[in-house]
Amino acid sequence: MDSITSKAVVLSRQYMQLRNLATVAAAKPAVAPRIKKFAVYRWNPDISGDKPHLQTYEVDLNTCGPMVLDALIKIKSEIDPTLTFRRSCREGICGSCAMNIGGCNSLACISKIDTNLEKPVKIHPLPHMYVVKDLVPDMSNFYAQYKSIQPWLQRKDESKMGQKQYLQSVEDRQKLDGLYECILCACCSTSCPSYWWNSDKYLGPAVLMQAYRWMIDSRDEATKDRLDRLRDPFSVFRCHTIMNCTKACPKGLNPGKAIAEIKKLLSGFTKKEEPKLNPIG
Amino acid sequence: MALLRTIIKNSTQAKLLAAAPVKSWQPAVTASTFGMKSIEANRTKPLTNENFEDKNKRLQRPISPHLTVYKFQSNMALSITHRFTGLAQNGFIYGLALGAMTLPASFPYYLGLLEAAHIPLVVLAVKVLIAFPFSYHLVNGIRHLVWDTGYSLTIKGVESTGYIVLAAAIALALYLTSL
Repeated sequence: MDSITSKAVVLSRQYMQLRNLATVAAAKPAVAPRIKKFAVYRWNPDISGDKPHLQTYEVDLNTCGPMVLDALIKIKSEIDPTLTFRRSCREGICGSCAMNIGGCNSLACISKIDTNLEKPVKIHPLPHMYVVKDLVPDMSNFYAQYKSIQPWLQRKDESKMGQKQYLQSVEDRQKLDGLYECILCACCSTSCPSYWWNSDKYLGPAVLMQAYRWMIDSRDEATKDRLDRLRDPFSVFRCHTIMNCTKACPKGLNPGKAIAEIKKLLSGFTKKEEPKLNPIG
Repeated sequence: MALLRTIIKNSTQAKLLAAAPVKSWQPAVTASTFGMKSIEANRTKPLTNENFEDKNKRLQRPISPHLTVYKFQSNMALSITHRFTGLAQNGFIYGLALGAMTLPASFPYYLGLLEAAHIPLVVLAVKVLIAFPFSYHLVNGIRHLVWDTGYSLTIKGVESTGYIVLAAAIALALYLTSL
């Protein structure tokens, strides 16, 4: 019994020594932490008398993912759980995490953190929007404007709707490329100074690009009504071609050009082409 | 064909269907089981009549910073310069009109006074100050007209035409000053 126990002790000791050796060999050399400063806009409606201010957080980039959203989530989980922001897909397709990063509007989940440790990253909510809390803006006005352009297919005779597919030629479908991919993140509209000063009456690039998307859809027959709804000095014509919208779009779309095309349709300079393929053909 | 039809007719499933026709699905437990009123499936009216502006003013929400935080880019700079040069020209015309109405002597007299001061740099500066708004607004105006047709409305197009406009405006201003 004694010999077995002593053998077991020797074996376990040898095993522990082997394990320690392996751990020491595998231990990485100590890496210097790369501390990046994040200056984030904070405002809490639940604290009476609170004024909007910038709060600075320090994050070690060696233990953080490459995107700004990774840093925000790390700050929220490890440093300050009260930091509030919207997020969902983390891959640049849902549009929830749209915010002003380093002066430009973009999606936090696809914006790389600038690795220059000298300068802090400034993070603000989307410009000239009512702030619900911290980085969360009130988007209700934006959504109401989108609803007002009636973003669905409209035909004169809808009695047989759903029975057959509406036909569309390849050429007509290509006209929708660059328009349908909009994720309604509001980066463009909130980068437009005209929208800042007139957000109640001017529709903004995002909504106008969607209006154009329905206007030039060959299957849609309500083009005249869609254009007539925009015939006032504010809905479209507050656009002065500043082109901040196209620069800001995180999906690489061109709302500025779409608005110019709407202006051409409104003025009668161009007309919507006949569909190449009859939709109920 | 007829054989097939009889087979189908006499099948067990057909017999069951004939005996007890299928009713549309009804849930076993509804809101009324708990004494609640049934909820409208399609409520599209908002809960209150308060509009967006009033609600946000009531909650005293701040407006997120805009001019103080947004990165100042070349396209913004050229666009605001277009507006300012337009206003500047407007100001010059106003000044000219007001001066013509209120000041006693004629325009050549005041021009003579300025030249007699013998500070050529001042005259040159004034000439450039008047020429540049005119030339910049003119050339950028042409760029706006090109945009209205739909051409060069891309990030690259805006940038490259911006450089052309700036160069052409300075050149034209210098030419007009030299006259």
